[in-house]
Amino acid sequence: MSYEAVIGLEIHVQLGTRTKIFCGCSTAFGAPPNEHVCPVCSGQPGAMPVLNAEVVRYALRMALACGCDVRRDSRFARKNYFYPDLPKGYQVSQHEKPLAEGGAIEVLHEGERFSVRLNRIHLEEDAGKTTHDGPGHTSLVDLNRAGVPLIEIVTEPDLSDAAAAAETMRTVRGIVRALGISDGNMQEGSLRCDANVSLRPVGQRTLGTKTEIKNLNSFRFVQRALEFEIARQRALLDGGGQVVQETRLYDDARGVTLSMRSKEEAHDYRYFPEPDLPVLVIAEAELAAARAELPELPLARRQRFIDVLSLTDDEASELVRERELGDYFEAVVAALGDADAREIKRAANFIRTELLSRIDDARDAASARVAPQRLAELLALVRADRVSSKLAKTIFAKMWDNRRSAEEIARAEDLFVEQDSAAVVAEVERVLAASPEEVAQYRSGKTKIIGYFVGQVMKATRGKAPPQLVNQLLREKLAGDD
Amino acid sequence: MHNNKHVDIQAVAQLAQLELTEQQARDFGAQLERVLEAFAALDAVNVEGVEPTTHPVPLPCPRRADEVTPSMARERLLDAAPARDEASFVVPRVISG
Amino acid sequence: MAVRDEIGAALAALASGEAVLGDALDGCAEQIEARAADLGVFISVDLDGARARAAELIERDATRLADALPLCGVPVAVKDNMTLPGLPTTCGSRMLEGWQPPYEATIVERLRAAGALVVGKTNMDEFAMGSSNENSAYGPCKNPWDPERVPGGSSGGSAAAVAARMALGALGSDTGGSIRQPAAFCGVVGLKPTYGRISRYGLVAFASSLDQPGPLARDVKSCARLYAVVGGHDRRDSTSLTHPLGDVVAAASAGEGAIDGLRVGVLSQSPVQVAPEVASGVTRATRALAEMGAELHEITLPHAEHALATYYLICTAEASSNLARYDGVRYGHRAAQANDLGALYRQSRAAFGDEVKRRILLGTFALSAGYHDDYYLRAQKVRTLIRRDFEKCFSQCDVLLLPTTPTLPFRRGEKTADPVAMYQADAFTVPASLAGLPALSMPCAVAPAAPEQGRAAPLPVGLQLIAPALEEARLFSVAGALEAALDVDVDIDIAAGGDA
Repeated sequence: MSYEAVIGLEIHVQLGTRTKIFCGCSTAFGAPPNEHVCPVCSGQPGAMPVLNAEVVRYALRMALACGCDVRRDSRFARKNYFYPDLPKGYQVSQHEKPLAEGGAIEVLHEGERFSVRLNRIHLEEDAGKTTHDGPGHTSLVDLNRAGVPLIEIVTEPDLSDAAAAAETMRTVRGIVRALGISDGNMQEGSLRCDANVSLRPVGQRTLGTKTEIKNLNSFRFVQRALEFEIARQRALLDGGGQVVQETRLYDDARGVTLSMRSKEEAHDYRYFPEPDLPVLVIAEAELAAARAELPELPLARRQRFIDVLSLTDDEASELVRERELGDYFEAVVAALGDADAREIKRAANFIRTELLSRIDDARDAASARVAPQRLAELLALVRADRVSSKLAKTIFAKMWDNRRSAEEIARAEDLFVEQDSAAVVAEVERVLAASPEEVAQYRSGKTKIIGYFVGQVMKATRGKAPPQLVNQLLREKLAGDD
Repeated sequence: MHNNKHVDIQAVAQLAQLELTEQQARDFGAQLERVLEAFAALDAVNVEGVEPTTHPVPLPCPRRADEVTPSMARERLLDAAPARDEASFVVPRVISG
Repeated sequence: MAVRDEIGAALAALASGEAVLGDALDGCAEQIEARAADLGVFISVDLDGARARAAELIERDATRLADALPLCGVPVAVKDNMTLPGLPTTCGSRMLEGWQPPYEATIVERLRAAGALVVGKTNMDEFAMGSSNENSAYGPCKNPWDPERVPGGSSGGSAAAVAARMALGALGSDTGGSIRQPAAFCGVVGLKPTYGRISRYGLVAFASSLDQPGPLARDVKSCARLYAVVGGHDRRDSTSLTHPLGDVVAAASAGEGAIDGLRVGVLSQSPVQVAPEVASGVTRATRALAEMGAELHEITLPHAEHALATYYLICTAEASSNLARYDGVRYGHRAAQANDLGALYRQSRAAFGDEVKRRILLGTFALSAGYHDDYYLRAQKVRTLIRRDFEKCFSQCDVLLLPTTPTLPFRRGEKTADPVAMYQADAFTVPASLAGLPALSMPCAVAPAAPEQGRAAPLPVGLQLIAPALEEARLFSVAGALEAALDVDVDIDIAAGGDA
């Protein structure tokens, strides 16, 4: 039988606030264990939570960016379960009345644009970390992460393949970075997800039995775990078996998902409203303010780059990858003034090749050694035919190294285009005279060899001869008499 | 609601991480059932369309500025722990994978 | 009739130079040394700490400070579920034996900043669960009027400390009557303020939507003085109210004028049977109010009969969650020999006493899948109906007057076998708790010794006043006037101590 997969994601995003959701402890990653812990986040008897205002601001930004309905009176709830890194024996989350409902994430995957609808976005606190390598058969508990703010984004089961699910995660990463609410770093755990997956015969409406794969913390794992799980379920169904509803873990070393059933008790979280936190009231003015500070999302920006700036799909996709890179590009275009499509494309390509090869992370564009204004000055020289495209790269390299302007470097190093045409004519003649064999070949019809002459002339002029003039002169001379 | 007054006391104890001896299970189970029986009148109250009260004195949730305040001295935190190593709380190994 | 104001008198004596700072403490220390251990009043006593603090204040010029510090040199006792660094906070439980809290409760901080001298941490029912103080892991606290009898609970130690003159005031906490009921049983004044009036930051939680700290003292005005110090907004408690307290100290001595035209509600029907001594004490108070010009209105609280069930389902549900943190990992008791995580949890949590376990089980059940809607959620809805009953009632009257407890202080062991009978002791106190309303208990009579009825010693009778939310000042003014009119003699011969 032919099956289709139905996939939904529960995406956890750590918000990049300075402090935890309910206390003033730092959220900085990578501190020694239990460095950022206080009575509140370690669940000391009598300590009480106070909500971080910035957490609400960040979450609202995400909710509005995804077009969710924001609830004016959302509520915190306690999710009760025992685990060593859950200091209070409950996690403060939202249950019946989440901050936001509905909305969607727009995803572009293999050239196709589709919507993943959202069920909800809610606020919650992260748990601490338990590592299982303590001496003498022990586990060690670090509470630095306990209380770090999270939003949980729950999608509808709108996805049907593993690659699209991974792309959805990439899109979420792009959005949260564009919004400035999280670094979306899956390695450090600031972005992670659980995936629900079930199979049903193609054409059937009712959903099959699903499994939940917990705690996927890289894009690659999302894809591989789902690929494996879909294949596993298909094999089961094909063999006349049944899928058991359960929680599974992905083991990347073996490339398989494994049942957690044996050690998971049937969970009964006994949710109830958190009595220590009153209703989270969102005022109209607050929503308006959040809406006003909403930046353009990557996909919208990409479309604008294509529609308005005439970039290709690939160029646009690459430049919107990080907000800072897109900002850099736009600053260059703005500084160029009335740039035409060719110049904009030149700017785009310059950034994609010269800039990106010099920074480790596209986000570093914001602090690049050559500011957008300076790059625009260089490109303006190219536009005015005062510097060749090729030499522009050389100049850029020097600008990167010594932070001088393009003009200064070109002048100091004599890199301007040769404006004296007599000198160029002389050089062309000298090259032709020195290559009688190649001249003969050209005249016998192998006109492609003109590139050789151009190269010789450019080499002799250290790239300063205007390429158009060189071409024109060569053609004239080669077409003419001996 | 109260059709089934029998409480599976061991299942409840399991959820609450309490260990009950057979005797305790019998005693607590019987007491619990008696208490629930005494509370059965609640069943007759008409609560149709009534909103639950979660906070007796409603007020909006206050918020604080996102400013770092000092954490606890780690030694102080860990010294209170019944079992610790240099930097962490220690528990019996949680079976993994 | 002179206004009773024991704390005010101590402050005045200090300011006038009639007394030196430390005199009041010496008096209390004497009582503590003589009787506290026998009566089981404290879990930890800290007279040295109190003396050191007194010396500090003397250093800073106590005569001048008496004007500036509203509790300068006043010895107070603090219930052992409030954090005070330097002393253990046990909550009456083995689970927290020896736990040294790493931070200070807002209320304790305010007490100390006001110049109060904390003499010790008082005995209580484990995690504030109980109405008799028999559920303490550190032994029962006894009623100073008759040590065979319970002081009430859960703030039994705080009430007993004040009654037995071991402190001029005390802090207790009230979830379903845990200040008012012991105040009634020990013949002192106790206030449970509007939910949110006094910060819970540093009060170890029992049932968070009901818990409310409050003061106990031997007279109304002294109680108001304590409340004025510890009450008011606290940013560290998100449920803390921002409304100003008003001049509650002045209100306490407003006099008879406060009663003229006051509409006093009395219940036309009691939800439980009331002992005759209690009924007559309350009637006496009603009559006194009428004589001062109050209008009496018979009112009903139609859902009050469901208050106990509602209360016990909600408080145990919240408790089951609040007490999940006691898992032997970060602090408190941990079972020595646990080689897997489940065993660690279950063996460590075996340190809870029976009543705590009972309530955790009931609360866990009330929240569990399949029962949540029928028990927990239904109780929350009935809670709304009870709130509405009060709203309606306060459209007809200004304060409600009713007994604090259905009975006189009962004997130790009398109700321990039967949780349902024990829960009945809270019948009059839980409605105001559910509605978050301010309620005050004060002595209204003393039932004389009646050996033929098995009463070896005289026993106090308490009455309860309930006001609309935020109207603590009204409670103090009515209670102050009533105190003067009733003139109940609550001085007990502590030396005799009812040992007779």
